[in-house]
Amino acid sequence: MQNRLDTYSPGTMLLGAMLCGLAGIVLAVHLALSTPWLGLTLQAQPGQAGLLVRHSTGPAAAVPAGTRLMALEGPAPSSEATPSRRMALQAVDLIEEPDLLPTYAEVAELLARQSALGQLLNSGEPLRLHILHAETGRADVVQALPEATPLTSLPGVFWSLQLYGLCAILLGCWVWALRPRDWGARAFGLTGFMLFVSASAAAVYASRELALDGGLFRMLSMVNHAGATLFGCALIMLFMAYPRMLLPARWLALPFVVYLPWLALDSFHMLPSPFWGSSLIYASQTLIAVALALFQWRHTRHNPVQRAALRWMSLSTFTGCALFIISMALPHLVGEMPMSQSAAFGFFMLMYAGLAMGVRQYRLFALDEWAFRILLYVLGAIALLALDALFLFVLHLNAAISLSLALVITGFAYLPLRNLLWGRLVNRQALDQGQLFRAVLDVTLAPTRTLQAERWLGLLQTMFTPLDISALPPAQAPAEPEIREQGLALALPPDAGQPALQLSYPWRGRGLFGPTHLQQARELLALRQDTQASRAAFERGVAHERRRIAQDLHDDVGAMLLTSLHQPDMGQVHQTLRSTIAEIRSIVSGLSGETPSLAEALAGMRYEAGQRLDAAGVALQWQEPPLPDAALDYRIAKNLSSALREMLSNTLRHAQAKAVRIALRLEQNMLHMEISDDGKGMDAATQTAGHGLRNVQRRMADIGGQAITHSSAAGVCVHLSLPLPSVPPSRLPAQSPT
Amino acid sequence: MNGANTTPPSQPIHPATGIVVEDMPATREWLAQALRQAFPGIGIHTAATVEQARTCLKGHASRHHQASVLALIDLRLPDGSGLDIVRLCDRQGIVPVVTSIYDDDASLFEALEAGAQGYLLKDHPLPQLVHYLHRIGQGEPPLSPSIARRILASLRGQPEEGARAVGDSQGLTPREAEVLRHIGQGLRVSDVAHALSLTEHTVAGYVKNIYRKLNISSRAQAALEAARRQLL
Repeated sequence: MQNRLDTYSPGTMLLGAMLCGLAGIVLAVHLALSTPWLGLTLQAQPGQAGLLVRHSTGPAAAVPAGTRLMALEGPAPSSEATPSRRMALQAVDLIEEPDLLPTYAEVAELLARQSALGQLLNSGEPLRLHILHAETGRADVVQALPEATPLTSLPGVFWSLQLYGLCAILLGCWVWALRPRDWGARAFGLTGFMLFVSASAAAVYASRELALDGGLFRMLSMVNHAGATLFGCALIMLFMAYPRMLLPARWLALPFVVYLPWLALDSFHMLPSPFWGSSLIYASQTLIAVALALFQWRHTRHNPVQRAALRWMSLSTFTGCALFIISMALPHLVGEMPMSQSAAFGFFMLMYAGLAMGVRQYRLFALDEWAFRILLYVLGAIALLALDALFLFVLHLNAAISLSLALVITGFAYLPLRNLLWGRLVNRQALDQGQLFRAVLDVTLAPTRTLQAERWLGLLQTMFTPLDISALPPAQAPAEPEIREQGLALALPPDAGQPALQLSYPWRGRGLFGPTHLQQARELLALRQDTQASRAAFERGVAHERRRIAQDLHDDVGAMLLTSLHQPDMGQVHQTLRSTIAEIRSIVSGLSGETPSLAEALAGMRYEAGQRLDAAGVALQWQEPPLPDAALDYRIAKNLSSALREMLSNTLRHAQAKAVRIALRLEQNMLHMEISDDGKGMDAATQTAGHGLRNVQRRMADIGGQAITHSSAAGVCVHLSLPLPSVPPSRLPAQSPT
Repeated sequence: MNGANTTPPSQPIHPATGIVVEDMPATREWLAQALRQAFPGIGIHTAATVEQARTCLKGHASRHHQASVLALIDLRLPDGSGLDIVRLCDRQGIVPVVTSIYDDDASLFEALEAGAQGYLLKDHPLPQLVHYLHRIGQGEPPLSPSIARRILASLRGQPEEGARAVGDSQGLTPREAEVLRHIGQGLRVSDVAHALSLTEHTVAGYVKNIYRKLNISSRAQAALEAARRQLL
């Protein structure tokens, strides 16, 4: 369903609706001030002639309160041809709502009287006010010249009706702006708008001092009437569509098809009486809405959540409507003056207040607490605009403030303050590149999955400040970030322990997701993936290292301790234990994180061999050609040094040698180490079964090398050869291990 | 900095007193035995904790000719680090030798910087340990290849600054650097002597000097660091 309105953010839509409302109020004020003013507060007294003067000020200040205004008389006619311009006043002149008159003829007469009175007031000449002192029965005449109506003369009724209308727009459009494609929300938005139109128009004529131009009166009355009728249509539409769509969407037009012609007939006074064109319309609409609500009730019987929402909606709506109808119709039926419109319209506020509460309690229209934030934002924005208007107004009114002073105040006090407020209200906090990177790292490096999921949400919240973040079911999860609902929402694939997420109403409902944000989201995810990959690699490294230590401890230390446990000779036990400690050192040195270079590893072996042989009085001859300074894999270094250690142990234990020669060679990535002694050699049994030699074989096999042993009367010669992977040159020469 | 106390043992010493700071009783006894074998007639004091060692050293500060006292100090003691004792000894002119089971570069280097005159591993066979103690007595501390490489890097890395603070004594001479480089390749003192056509005694002298310079350099660094932090 493509709708142009969907391309605006909820904040914009709501603000726009509010500005429409404000413009409507400005128009209403203008119309209300269009007829000149006498300064009287009048009250109709049914059954009595004239109108009671309750209060007087302005041009007619001379009229005492408590007297009765009997008639208005214009200046003497310029020619005898024109009839006298004296108008006797009647209670009906003050009637708030012409629709309540029993016949169209009376309506027409009222409008004619209003026009006549309006002409008198508009004539621009002093009027003669005929008054009657109630106690004494004395008649009197006061002269008064109608003036332009001051803003302050507009009564509370006027403002309260405008305020009700504005509240209705605000709350109605609030729901509509957040759920622009939901028919129920649209209908609800329409009720708000129409209530405003109706109330705002009624306010103009209901709060007139005495008269309006008949044409204007008629037009306003029609607007009021149309607003009320469309409000009723929207109400019908609402209960057709909410909580469930009872009929296909095209049927939603039905109430308009029925009631708009009806309304037209009433406007042209073609119905039997105004009752047919107003009360009957409203009553029928309300009854239809109630009937639909009952249908809804039946349809939602298997859905308690929808039913709860429906119950609350119906309760607040029909309470408001019923009270309004009773307040307007009942006094009329019993022959009383109906109560003031302002109070009657107030009952509709129940409906909207009920809705606001329902959003919190019953998630009406699937809205939640977050929806209130956008309401606050719009109220803040409106308040600021009002502040602007007030500021201009005060500056304009106050003649004591010179232009230059006004400029100074504006420049140094008002504008900075205003900017500050605006910044607070509208500011979008964007993360710079560095902050973003740190935030993503924080997510990735979170110690637990729960914390990671939490931080991920937090980051999304900071980046886009959406009003709502909800999880998407797997079926709707996107493979990569996607803009949905015409920019109202952004769908993200599952990440960081969170399921696929939908971020709705970005920037607290004040913006929409656009291509830039999509790009940002993509980069964010890419950054997440990169850092996550690094973390995974790191964790693999840690796991690998743990495995290495475990394996080394088990294979080497464990095996050697076991050996020493079964050795009968204490000297041998000591020897084995020393080797074990040396093994532990090798294992631990692998933990330091420094990969030794080939030269460094060989230096360590040479030193250890030298020390051991020295202590046993055996000479060591170490032959080492210049070797490339290459990094050496830990496994190779460890296995090679362990193998050498075991061979020397064997030599020291069995060979009775005087000297050991160790010669190194590097040929085409093969490292050769030849260890020969001048001892007595091995007998055949030792050669095959020697445990030490078997270990040497195993260690060499482990790193892809081999050990070949030759034994003769001249001594034992072991030839180790192993491939050195072609490694890149290590960082620096051996002299700088740091 | 108290330079007067840092005179290295320039001639062979025969310590009259040995102090063993070690928390494991069996090892303590074993080390005492090694001392007795290396220096017959030596008087032995033992301590199991840093606290006991301090008390012991206090007693010695007044009674003995300092250069004739040799201390074997374990690094990881129940109530603290043996390094403190090493520093205390160094300040009193007692010859501190670290005996440890760990030979990781970091703790080794720290010990040498603190003033240790030798670093011996406790898993050596007794004869070998006795042999090393002898050598230390003669002013020939052992030096492993990885430590030699570290010293080389350390003394090269901070030449000017340190030199200005304590004079020229602690920059390495070319000969000393060469000796260190060879030791760093795993050569023993005798091998180095052979490779450089020097006597073993001369090479041992260089090693001694290197030890001293490392110690002085670390003190100078500490002093500089302290001055930088305005503690002095």
